[in-house]
Amino acid sequence: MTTELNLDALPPVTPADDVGTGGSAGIDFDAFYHAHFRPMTLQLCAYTGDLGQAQDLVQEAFCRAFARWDRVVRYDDPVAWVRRVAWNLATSRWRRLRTAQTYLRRQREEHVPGPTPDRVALTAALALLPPQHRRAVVLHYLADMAVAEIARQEGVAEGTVKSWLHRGRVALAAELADRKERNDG
Amino acid sequence: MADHNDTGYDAGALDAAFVAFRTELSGRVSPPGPDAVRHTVRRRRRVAITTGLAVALVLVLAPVAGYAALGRNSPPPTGPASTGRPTPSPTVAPTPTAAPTPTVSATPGVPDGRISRAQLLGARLDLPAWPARSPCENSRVRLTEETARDGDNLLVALAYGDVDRDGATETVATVHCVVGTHGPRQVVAFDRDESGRIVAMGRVTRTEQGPPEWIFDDVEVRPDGLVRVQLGDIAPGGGWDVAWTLRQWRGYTWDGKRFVQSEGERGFPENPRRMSLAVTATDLVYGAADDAGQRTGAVTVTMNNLGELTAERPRLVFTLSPGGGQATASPGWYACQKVSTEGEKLYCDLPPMAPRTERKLTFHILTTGTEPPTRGTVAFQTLDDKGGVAVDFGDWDNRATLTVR
Repeated sequence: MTTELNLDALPPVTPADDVGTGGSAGIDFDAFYHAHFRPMTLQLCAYTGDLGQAQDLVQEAFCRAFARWDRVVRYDDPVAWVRRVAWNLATSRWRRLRTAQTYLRRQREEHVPGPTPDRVALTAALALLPPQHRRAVVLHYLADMAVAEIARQEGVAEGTVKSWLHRGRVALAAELADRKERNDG
Repeated sequence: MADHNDTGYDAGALDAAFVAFRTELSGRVSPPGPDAVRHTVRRRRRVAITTGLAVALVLVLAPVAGYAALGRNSPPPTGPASTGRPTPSPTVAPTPTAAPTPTVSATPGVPDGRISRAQLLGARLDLPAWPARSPCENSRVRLTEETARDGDNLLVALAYGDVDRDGATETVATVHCVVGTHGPRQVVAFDRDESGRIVAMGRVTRTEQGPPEWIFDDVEVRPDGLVRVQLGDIAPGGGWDVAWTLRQWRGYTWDGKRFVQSEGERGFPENPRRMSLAVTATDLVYGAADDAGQRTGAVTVTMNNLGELTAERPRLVFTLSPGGGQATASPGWYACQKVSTEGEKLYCDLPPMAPRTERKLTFHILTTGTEPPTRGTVAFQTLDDKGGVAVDFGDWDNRATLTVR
């Protein structure tokens, strides 16, 4: 998108020290960003197993939203647009993220405490699920999305999502129970 | 105690695991912030402007340098160069002849999947495979705008949109492999890889031998990423009027690995204008010579009208070489409305044949001399109302070779 020279489509870019609205139609970009960055990052972290990468993906999705904010803000559900872009980036062919990654790599160099065993266990158990089951489970538990909404995002029938969800939950619960037993034993 | 209810899993444990996950991780997320978004977008915008500006300067300065090289005075500065600060605009893109390779490689941002017609025509491309026996190459090919010869990959149509719904634009093109007036077509989605090279994401759809034989020139990308293509059952040309072709719009979506059809019909009904005849035959077996030294051969011919149209004036044409033959008493010839001969050919004009019917007839053929022919064919065709041979599709089955023995 960088060399898409349609500058008219870009929102006004305010100076860094002037945190402008960058938006229209009543939705403030900054408020929108702050309201949705964390939840989306959690979802993608659960899906990819990598917090840094999840932040990259969500930041990139917000960049793409901002670059066409005038349009996105008029959609019925701008959050769904950003979430879909972030999730599609997670499975995209080239992870077209260089710019955001460069920035974020600097942020990640700060020391962060290691994950708790429970988080490690859930992440590892999620990683064993087929990607579609994993997406359905994560969207259900961490994005609080209804079956119909997941079906819409994934472009499949609701029955398919129900099946993914059920199979994902059964497998996930069994894996967590196994791990607990091994650790307790 | 685990709460399994009748779900087959411990729902409470799962809920608790996700709540703990959310609680623990929430504090560890460090959003770069909306200012970082602005920073990135501004930088990309600046790169875009710089790219446009560099091209503008090259376009303006190239003739100046040319002049200098000739040892002449520079011409008066014109256009953007005279201001020293040209205003970039969307129209200052690489020209068709300039920069056949992508210019994004120097860009630190996201590769641009919006590929102009000129850039697409200027690049060497790897296309998804063409059908077997097609004369067109698919590796390192250059698309053309005008047909020069068979085997050219003609760029027919272009559309843009976010086909993989990742927030960036990709390019969709219809490409025609030229074979006479026909040739296969395919719709291909293109993007750029991280080095800026144009790559084919995948094939959206393509024509087949048999419906759909044609892709019309219009292709669209809907805002939701669905690629709409208009397909036709029978390719125009060779006597077939495009107005007779049945049209269907079908929609395709990217599933992460390939395009799959998600809208529209999946097959064509029989085309009411389609004539499709077929013929098979047994060996042509000659018996012993009669008193006059002539021999009689027998062959059973099976005719099919496979299409949805009545064959109003069907005709069988036997060609026997050398020497031809003569019709002689047998059920086949009796069934003909008219029998005629011309050189090595024997004609039998039959009564109309209804759609989806078969007819089997045995013909006896007398040698014109004492020796039977060494080779023969039988063709089955129908005449149009002007007396010409009507257009038939799949005409490979309209003729059978006769094994003479």
